[in-house]
Amino acid sequence: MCAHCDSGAAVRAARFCEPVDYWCDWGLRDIAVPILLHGFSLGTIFCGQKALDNEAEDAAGIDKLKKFAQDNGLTAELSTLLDLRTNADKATVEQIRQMKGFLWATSQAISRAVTSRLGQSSGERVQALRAKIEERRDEIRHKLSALAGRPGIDDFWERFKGILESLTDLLDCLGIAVCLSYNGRADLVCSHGLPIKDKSLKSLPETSILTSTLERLDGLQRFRVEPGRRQPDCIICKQVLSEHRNVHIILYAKSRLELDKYLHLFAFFDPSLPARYNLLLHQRERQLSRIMSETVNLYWLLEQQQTLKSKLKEKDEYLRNVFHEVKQPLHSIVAYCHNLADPDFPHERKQRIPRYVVEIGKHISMMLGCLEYASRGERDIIRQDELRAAATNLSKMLIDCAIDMQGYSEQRKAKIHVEVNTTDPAGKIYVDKSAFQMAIGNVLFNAVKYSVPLTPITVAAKRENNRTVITVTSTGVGIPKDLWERVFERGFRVDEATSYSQSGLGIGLFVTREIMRAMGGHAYIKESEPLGWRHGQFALHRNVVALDLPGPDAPASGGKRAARGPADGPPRNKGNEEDDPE
Amino acid sequence: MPNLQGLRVLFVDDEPFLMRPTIEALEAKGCTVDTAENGTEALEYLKANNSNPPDLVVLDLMMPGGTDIDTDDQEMTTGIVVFRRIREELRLEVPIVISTVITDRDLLMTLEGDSKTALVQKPYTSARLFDVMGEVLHGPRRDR
Repeated sequence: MCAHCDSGAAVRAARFCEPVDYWCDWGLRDIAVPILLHGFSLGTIFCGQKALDNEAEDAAGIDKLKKFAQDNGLTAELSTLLDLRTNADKATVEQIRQMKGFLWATSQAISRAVTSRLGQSSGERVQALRAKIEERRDEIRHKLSALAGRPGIDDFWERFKGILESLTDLLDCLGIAVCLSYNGRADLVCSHGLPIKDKSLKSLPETSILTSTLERLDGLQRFRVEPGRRQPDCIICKQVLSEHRNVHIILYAKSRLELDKYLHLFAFFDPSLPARYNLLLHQRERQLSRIMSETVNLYWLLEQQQTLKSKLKEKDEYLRNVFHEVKQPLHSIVAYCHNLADPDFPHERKQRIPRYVVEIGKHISMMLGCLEYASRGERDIIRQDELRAAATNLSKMLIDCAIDMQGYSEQRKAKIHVEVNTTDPAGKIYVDKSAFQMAIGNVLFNAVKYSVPLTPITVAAKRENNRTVITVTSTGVGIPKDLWERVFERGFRVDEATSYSQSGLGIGLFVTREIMRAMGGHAYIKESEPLGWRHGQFALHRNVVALDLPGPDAPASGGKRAARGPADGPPRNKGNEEDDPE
Repeated sequence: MPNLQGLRVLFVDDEPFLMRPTIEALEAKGCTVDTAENGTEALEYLKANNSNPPDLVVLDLMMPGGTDIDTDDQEMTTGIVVFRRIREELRLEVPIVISTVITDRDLLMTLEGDSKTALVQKPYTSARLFDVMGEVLHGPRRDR
């Protein structure tokens, strides 16, 4: 029996309550005849053309049919049927009609026999059975769930395929629901109208086919639906849908492509199905999208956590460096105090100590000022409204910076020269003196720190294109060009392979650039040219750091100074509240 | 207080500006102090004075630079490089006082394996340095 075409024919026959003839997929002519009971279809009789590949098997069945026909006066019809058994495809319309007539009579005989057995209340019993089916639907589903995962369940499918073929004709009966699971397993919910255990029905020979089929069903089983096979997919469900029965169908497909194929077939019978499916799909995709988004967020959080851990580690290291950098000069001050307190310490050396202590104090002050700026978390650590521009004598300022660096430069055996062209309008600029001194001081400090001893350090200032450019030139190891921008990054220190020393916090040049930016200017490395000779293992370079500002015609910063407290900025030098006299 | 009169000391530290009070205290005690700001200068000084090396070297361990002076091999600090080269290449038995903030026990034990080496933990007072110098010059070394 071919479930694909036969099942469709069964449903049509049950719907129209009359025999249906059709061509099956094998190219054979078949007839499907419904067995009706009180308006409900109990099943279907199939009869049709068949290749005679096993006459012996057919003989017993034919004998039974002959006896039935004889008992019911259908001998002639049966004769026609038998004659056309092998060549029904050549049957005429009249012959097909006769065949249908015989089978229809057979069906009615079965119906009478069942009714007779059920008694006067057959109609009521059927109604009651149907009600029981509805009640048992949930129970059936629970049973089905309980069967999940049992060994051998998957093998059942092979055996059950045959049962399902037989059941296709029963599909139209009394609310059978076929559920094909979307997740790859099919749940067959069979709420059949004729209970297996109804002995009165089982004993009916006319219903033996039905009961044996039900027995083989053996409750509710799971089976895997293999996509691409003819059954139980589309045809049964299509037909059932067309009947608007109470059928739950969950489409199974291993891929979206297959699902779309099923949808195309079902849409013919249920135009709303694509819309409902698309809605469901959309909802599921949104769910998936949300889950993915949350997963991405989770990964982002994990990454942020790692980054935070890394930053905390950097912070700890930075604090250690800060501690070291501050502790050293303070320790020096303490050591000087010990020297002062030592009665054996030479007097003439004691007289120099205050100057040394002042220098160290300035060093600490500058470092703390830079630290205060560098510790600000904002993007622009120095705001323009913090700066107070005033006309400042540039050459005097540069000289003051050099003097501030004197003690350190003497120790490092460096000599700072200041060159300012006083005939040039660059002699005066509008800057926040304190901040600008810090900016230049940081550059000078680095120049002294990294230059070769006994080589000159030159600070020069001039006008270029309505801007004032201050350069600090020193002799030392070269700065690779790819580091020219990096040296101005917060915390960056020159590579240890190219430097004598790696002490320091790496914030001086960073603060310098920020100060220049707030003033409308810029700090950059102008050149690092090799000089052609070496100092030890290092090739010497002339390094030039430039600070440029808008020309003296325009103030470098405007606005009143914001209210300041102790933590608002670097300490101010004396006398910076007024214009410096030239 | 040990007698440091006339002692020639090579003071190796990358921050002589900050070590000046200690250097001045040494000079006040009658020491002649030469300074070197890095390992290169220190080794060049010792090579140049190989026949008449200083009486004692005060060596800052943490002079980060990290690269071996001649071979470019990565070392932990140039202080260690200088120390090893003084002993292994220059073969100088000059007493060395290593000043350090490092508390790595394994490293310290390695450095103290030398009988003419002592450690002084930074920050130290001048008096403390003098004591350590006296011990390494005249007495058994001690753990710091």
